[in-house]
Amino acid sequence: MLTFVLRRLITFVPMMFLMSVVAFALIQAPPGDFLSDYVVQLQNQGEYADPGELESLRKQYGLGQPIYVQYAKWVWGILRWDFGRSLEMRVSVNDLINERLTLTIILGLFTVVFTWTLAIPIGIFSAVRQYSWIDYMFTFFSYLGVGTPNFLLALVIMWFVFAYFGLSITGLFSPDYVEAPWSLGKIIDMLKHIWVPMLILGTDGTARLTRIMRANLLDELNKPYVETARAKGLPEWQLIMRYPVRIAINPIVSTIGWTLPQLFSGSLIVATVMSLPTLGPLLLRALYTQDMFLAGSIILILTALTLIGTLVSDIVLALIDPRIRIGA
Amino acid sequence: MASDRVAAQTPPATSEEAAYLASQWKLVWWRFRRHKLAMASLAIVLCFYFVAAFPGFLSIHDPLDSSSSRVFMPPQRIHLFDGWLPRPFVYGVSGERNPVTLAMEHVQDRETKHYVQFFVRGHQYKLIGLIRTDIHLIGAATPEGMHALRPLGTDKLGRDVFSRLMYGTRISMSIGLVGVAISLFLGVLMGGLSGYHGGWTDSIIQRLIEFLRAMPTIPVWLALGAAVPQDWSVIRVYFAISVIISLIGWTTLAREVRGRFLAMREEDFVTAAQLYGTSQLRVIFRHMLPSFMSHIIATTTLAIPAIIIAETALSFLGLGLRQPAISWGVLLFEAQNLQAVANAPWLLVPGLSVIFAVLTLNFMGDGLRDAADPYSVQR
Amino acid sequence: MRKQLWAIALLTGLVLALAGCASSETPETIIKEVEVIREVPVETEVIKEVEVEKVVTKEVPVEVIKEIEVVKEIPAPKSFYESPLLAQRAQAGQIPPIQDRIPTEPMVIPAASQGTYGGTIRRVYFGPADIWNFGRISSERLLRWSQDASALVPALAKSWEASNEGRTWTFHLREGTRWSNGDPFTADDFVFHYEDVILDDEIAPIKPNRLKTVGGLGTVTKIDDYTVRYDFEDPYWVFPENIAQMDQFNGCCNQPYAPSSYMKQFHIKYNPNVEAEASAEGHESWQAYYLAMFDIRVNPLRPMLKPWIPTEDSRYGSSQVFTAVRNPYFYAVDQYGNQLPYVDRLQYTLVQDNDILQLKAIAGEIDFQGRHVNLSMFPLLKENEATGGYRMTIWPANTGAEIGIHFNQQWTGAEGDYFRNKDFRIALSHAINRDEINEISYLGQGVARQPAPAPSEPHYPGDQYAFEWTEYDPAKANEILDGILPNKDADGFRLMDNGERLHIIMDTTPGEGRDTDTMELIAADWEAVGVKTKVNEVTRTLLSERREAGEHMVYIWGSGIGDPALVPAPDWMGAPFPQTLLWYNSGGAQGIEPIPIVKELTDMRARTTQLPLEERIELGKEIAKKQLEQLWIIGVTGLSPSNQGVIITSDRLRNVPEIAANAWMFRTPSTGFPEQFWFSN
Repeated sequence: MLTFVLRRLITFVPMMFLMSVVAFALIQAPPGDFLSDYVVQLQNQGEYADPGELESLRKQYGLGQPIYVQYAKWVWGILRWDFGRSLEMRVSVNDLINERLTLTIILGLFTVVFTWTLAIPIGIFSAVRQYSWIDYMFTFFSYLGVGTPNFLLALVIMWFVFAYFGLSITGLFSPDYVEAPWSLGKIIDMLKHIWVPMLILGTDGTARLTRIMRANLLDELNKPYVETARAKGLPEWQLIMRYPVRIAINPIVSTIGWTLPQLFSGSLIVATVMSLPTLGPLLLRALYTQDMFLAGSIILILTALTLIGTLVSDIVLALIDPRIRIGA
Repeated sequence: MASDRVAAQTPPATSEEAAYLASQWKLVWWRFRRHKLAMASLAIVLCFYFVAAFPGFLSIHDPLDSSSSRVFMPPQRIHLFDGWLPRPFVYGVSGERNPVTLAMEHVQDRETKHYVQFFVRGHQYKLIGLIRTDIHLIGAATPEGMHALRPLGTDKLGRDVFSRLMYGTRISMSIGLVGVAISLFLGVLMGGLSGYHGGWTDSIIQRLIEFLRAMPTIPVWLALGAAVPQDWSVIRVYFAISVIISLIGWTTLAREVRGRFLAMREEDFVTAAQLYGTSQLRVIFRHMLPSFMSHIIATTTLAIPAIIIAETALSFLGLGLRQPAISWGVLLFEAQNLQAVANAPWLLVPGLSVIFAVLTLNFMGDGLRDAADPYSVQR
Repeated sequence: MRKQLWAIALLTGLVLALAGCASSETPETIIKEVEVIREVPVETEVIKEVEVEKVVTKEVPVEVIKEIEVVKEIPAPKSFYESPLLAQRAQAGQIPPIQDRIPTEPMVIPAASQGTYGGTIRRVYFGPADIWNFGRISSERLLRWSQDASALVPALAKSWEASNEGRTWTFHLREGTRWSNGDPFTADDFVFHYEDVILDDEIAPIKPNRLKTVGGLGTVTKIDDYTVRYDFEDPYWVFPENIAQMDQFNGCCNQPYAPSSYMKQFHIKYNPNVEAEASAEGHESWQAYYLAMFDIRVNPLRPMLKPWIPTEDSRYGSSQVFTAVRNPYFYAVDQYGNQLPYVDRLQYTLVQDNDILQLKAIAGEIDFQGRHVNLSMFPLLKENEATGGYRMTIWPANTGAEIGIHFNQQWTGAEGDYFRNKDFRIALSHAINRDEINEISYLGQGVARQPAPAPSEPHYPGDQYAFEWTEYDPAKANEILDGILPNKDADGFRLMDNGERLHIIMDTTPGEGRDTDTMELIAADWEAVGVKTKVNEVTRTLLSERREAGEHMVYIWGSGIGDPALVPAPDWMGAPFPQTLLWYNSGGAQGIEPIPIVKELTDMRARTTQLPLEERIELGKEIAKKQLEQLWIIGVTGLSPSNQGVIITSDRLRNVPEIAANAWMFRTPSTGFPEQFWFSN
């Protein structure tokens, strides 16, 4: 186990390196660079840049150097925990990301906990009581959840909460707390707001997980060993929880590590629609304006999360099911 | 529902001999027929495909025909009985701009009735893409009648939502499912190989999966959006995108399959099959896979709405299927703004059809699983 | 169809100009009177009942609006009042007393009614690029436009005059004006900014267009502390209008001045250590550091002359809530002697989506906003006025055409032959059902027209130009097209001479009243006459990239022939003649030489800046006529309020005019004088 983890940690480094190259290349992929967006803005304000002037501007922004030099500079900075400077806002990327990363992770954790505490029991219940009216009801709601786009759900909920309760539920904080430093009051204020995005982001995942859990358990419940255990007189609930559930949870654990990054990319549009102060809207904007250091850094953080997540998945997988001998 | 299950144990109403002689597929079909919900679902799915095959015939209006005089017209109820006579009709409507709110308002005229007729001539379309015709299932005799015949209302350009829904079904239930099929196949194959072999195969496939997963999707989409040739038709772009979605989408299933296989490959029945000299693919697809069929069915039915919704998300990024092509995703994308949610909720109807299609496909899958699973009757 | 009638409650300074209008017969005379205003001190008080008779154009019947406006006689305020908050701070000795904070002759902004201090105007903004969301409402300029935009009025400069046939312009500053940190605002700030910033090629690779004439960059000279002189090689009669637009709060050059005593610490000439400080802060160079420190989005402490200034910890663009508070040194008062602004602060919430804007408005969380409010939102917002406690007003814009269909005249494919054929373009113009588009996309609030100047503009060439080829006539379109592209394929689409289907790709990006849906309507109209059309929605940046590279067949953007003296050439040349624009920009090294008509138009435009007003208008008309005759750009609808003209105003907010001039050039809502808005309880 230890050697396995060690070996994976060693592959982590070249993988991160590879991803940083890919991220950097992808951001450069659309035609033009940050300056083309900047020039459009200039034109809208009645200024025009001729090619020579553009070159000087490139120099000013450090975009004149060859792309690999820019990349090397960026990576060198990251090794010293300096993600560079946003081209558009001319502010350090670290400053821009910090708070938003925290909020993204908090929101993500809330959503994951919400999803799991709801989906696993419902899934088990549905499987055990397969084809009961409760099972059908959960089935219906699951597909309702899966079949509704998150952002449409966000809009509908926001509108109805407003129309019937007169509450406006946008963002994660009330205006008084948005720019305030962290305090008990701010945390309470956040808790008052966070449930809406949590609900919206969690709906899809909960529905999905419920279905998967139900299906997996059904696969197991039909197996002879369950019958054997039952014949031996094990109490029903104990029997179910002890073996089939542990095996049924295997596929879920296989992908648990991706939950956070997945939530992030899934939440990107919801976060944009709901104007949440998370990383998503920042990334989207940075990609549109080709603000490469900002976009690259956010992507790199996401990548790291995914890679770590996969590793965690593999470890948990081995722990939960002793039959699995990874890397054998 | 318990009675269903008991009934399934008894062979169908043929002679017992027939049951012995019947092929496996026949047995499955007999069992499936006992599953009422699954049968009902099958019927509905067939209906969906009927719509997908004949959208032009079923639609009332040209789905692209816009008009300022009927912007945001609410659904007009079709009254089935005129007094006691079973003669469906709609009341006349006329739209006018409210000078204060500037919104189009549609007033029903209870004095005029427009009767609904069958097999009427309307806009031209190609039946099954081949025969040019203009016959439609229903319609009205007069232009005023056609104007009022809007069972699901109209959108912000005054286009008929019902007809658009008909046409949207075609793309969503065909091209949309290609991606699902690809990712299902790749997921089982790659996950199976990875879990079955372990070792280096596993390492390589897992790193590949890791790489694909870690790849940031949104910049990929944005880069693609700029790279797609400008003269491609919208359908072609959409097809390419579905394939690309599925090329990333297989990874989740592969991880799950692999996890199960890692655990399962040590089991006796697998060893037995291997010792018997069964080919590797056969062990994977015939012996190991069926033991978690439910999971596969669930994953597949979950993948269908996911791909439809992914399409709306891509539309948000300025990619994905667009006008003038029509799919459920396009219809949903048009519905996701506050004006629609607050003032034109009928635009959300395509969302219901997504949910309905997925539900029925799921029930069908469940029935199929139960019918095919030799153990299912034991419970 | 709507006629834009400027029935505006006119305030003190403008009464005079308008009184002139009453007797005038033609627009030209109106302009003459505007000239007069420069010599008359604006604080002149008049009591008058005005009857405004406005001649819209010679071609349409005279429309008369009666507008009776009683303007009280206002004595130039002698004693000054301030916000109680500032009074407290002054008493505590944190800031000087009011009379030491404002100029000896402060700017007098006439308030529609006397207000009380306090309150917060809540708005939403969309991020760092949305700089004008703040820049327009909290503006600082030497001169600014009056409410109906009929004239420039003094702002930071109390007066200005031309000499040497328009080559020399002298501006007189208000003595005692101070920056928001208390530093005096003097001619030194102009000289520093010109000599050490604008002339420095590293900081300012792009020299400000507005300080250029044909002969090159103008020069700046300090006459005394409160007098600045600009000298140009050529007559530059349009300089006041241009300097009124030099009001950017970031970038290097689109400002006439900079807070010199503060900014010197970031300039190598005055601080030899600045390179080290710059790299310590993580900047590429000291110039980049200087620009970052000048940009108030990065450095909110940079002194300003705005009515509201950012708070210390606000970062415009990255702050979830951006707050700007009153500038204690703001140089303007109202006629009652109250230092403006009345409202304590502006508060911007960062949003990413229009739907949130609407929800916030309906929830009563927006107090004053026109920016980002789309015309399509109007019905929902109007219906919920009572719920949200706000009112909706419309300030129509003078956009010539929200949608201008630009045909690439230099397209090298086979399609190019048709794009260059004027009859082909005429046919496609007739094929568009503009009224239908106006009803669907602009709620009937626009006008079907070509991209001609607005009728309210002095160089409006006349209806025959604005409405030529705009009637919907598919039969006529087909008839013309049959002559050019007679062959059709099995699907009914027209074939080019080489046998291929003519397939137009229309590049567009959503924004400013240009929905992609609307383009689909146009495409459908064209397909109805047999011209296959694909709408190609791309990002804004990609759109402009494609245009610059000449990769577009048809390019969609707003269009209109603004005052040719003010609008730089690329605006009209960029999309129809991308290669020629390149030719001009590269000094003839690259691209394609202009065809005669393009050269003629370019030369005419270059000449306009050198002409005095009256001649300029005549030439402007000529330019508009010549350009519209070419129909390189087909207009669809124009003059709708879709560009920032749909305005949400809190019921509690007073002194917001019912109508004010709306255009980018005037920096609307600056024309509504937000400094004098106030909250009632």
